[in-house]
Amino acid sequence: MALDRGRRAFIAALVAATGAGGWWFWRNQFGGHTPEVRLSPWTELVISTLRQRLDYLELEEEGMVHFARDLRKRRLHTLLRRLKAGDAETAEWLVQQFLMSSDFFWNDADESRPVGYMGYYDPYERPCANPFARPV
Amino acid sequence: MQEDFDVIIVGTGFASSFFLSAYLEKSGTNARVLVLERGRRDSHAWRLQHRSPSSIAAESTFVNKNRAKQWFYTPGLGGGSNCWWAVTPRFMPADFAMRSQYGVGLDWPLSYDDLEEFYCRAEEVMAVSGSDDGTPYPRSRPYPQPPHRFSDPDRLLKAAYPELYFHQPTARARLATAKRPACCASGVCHLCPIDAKFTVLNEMDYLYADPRVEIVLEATVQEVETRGATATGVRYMKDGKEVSARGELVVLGANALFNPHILLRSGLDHVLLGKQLHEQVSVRATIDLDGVDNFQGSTSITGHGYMLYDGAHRAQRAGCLIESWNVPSLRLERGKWRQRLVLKFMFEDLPDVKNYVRVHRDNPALPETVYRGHSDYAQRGIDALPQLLPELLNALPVEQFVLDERPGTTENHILGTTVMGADPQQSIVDRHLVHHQVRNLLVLGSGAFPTGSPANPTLTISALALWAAHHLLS
Repeated sequence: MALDRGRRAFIAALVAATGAGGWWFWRNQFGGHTPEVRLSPWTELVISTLRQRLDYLELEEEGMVHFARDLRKRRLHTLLRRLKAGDAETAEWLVQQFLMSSDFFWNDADESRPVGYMGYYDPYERPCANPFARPV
Repeated sequence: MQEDFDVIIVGTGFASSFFLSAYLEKSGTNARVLVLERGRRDSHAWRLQHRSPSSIAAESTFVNKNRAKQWFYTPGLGGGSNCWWAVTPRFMPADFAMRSQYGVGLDWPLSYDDLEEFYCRAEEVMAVSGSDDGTPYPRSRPYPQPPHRFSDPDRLLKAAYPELYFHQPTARARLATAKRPACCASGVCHLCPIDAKFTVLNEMDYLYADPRVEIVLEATVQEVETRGATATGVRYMKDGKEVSARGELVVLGANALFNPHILLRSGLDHVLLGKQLHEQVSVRATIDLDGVDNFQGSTSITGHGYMLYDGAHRAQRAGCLIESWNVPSLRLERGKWRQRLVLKFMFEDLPDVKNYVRVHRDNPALPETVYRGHSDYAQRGIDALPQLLPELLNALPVEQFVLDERPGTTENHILGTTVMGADPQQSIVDRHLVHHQVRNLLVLGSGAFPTGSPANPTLTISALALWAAHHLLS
């Protein structure tokens, strides 16, 4: 019985230690986020640029994360370098590209509504998605 | 074995295809036409997939050591129609008479009135959209399609300049045709995602399926073969082999780089052959508006301004055609996103013999461009713009504007090099684009332009091809 109690205590201690170690690893590696939503430095840079330039809009974070990933898929390495270097023109391009990819202009540029991401603005992937053009 | 043809046509762009359409219309069922095209048949689907106008890099087909000046064209079936923006102004009547009206450049050996009927026909084929509510040039027929929608800044400019500001005529469909949907202003017209602009492939492909026509792709013409003053055929390269074809008539419809190159290699020397290479020179202004939104238009470029085009100033400085752009270019200021207008100013250039095409010394199979710069005449036009622009923009509520006076590296037009004229000493072809020395040889295209005009050349290229065919066959 004493042995059983000792075994149970040992197993409990082992489980607790494993859990604590796992928590410690997860916390240090992912900063409290699950791996699926971990923000890369690139994504952080994109989001911070958008937030800084559009601080009066409610930008949906999930949409910005998706936008950053869509940008990354396009291997815009030069863009990243310029953005990191604080190039203003690149930041402006980024903001324009995000707004054109969002529902902001489809909602008549209504600043009171949250801004969601609709999909990367690329006429070849989404033809006829110009939010301003009015057919005759 | 050599084959005999009634006509051999080199190239499949606007000039060749419009000539071929007129030729087939007037020819019997036994006509035999050989068409030689250096490029491939790159379908619209292929071009979309590769985001490229051609599977052959144009830069590999000629030598250009002046990297500051680009000459852009598209190798492949359909030629320049695969990459153009489908802008289709006519030339103004004065463009054909620069010497007699303004004492600069040369007069064309034909007039606007001579071409008017053929302009109409070319517009019909392309289903050009435009407004009949006043046009800058006389027209005998209405435009085939109604105009695209103006943007709000266009409306203000039209109100201020009713006789000088117009809807841009364009072959970007305003209404769907049997082959094309209506344009939806995607703003990437060099390769339209929905194939709404006119191309040879989407509207004239039937020509190349005609049983009278034999087309050979990836065939690079080396020279026109002649005996005395008669063309007997052409020699071309296909799959690394040299091939000859005999023809009663030879029609060069490659562009203004390759037509002179072929003629130079054919021994048809002339002091002006290959000379006077030029195109328009353009600059842009970005204008921030006060309280006026932009980009409501229904296509990528919506307005054409003629305020600086024609008039006495052309005796001193270049005329200019203004384009109003409707492709979204946001103003990144809260609440003012759309209060921005981009205007493009296209100045004519005067041809100069210092700019030319020659046979490349090390590789004679390639043409080489030598370009030393645009004329003082064009530069004087650009230099006058900072003074003229503020008054011009009085029609708009302008907060501020920025004029970028650095010209673009290319307008995607290639002009001059096989100039037309009445005097064989001063020109390569006559008014019907027939070679002065070899009378069964036609040299089509914008190479024949004695002067360039501020306006885009494609409609005039097409009309001239119809004019040449009409003269030949009637």
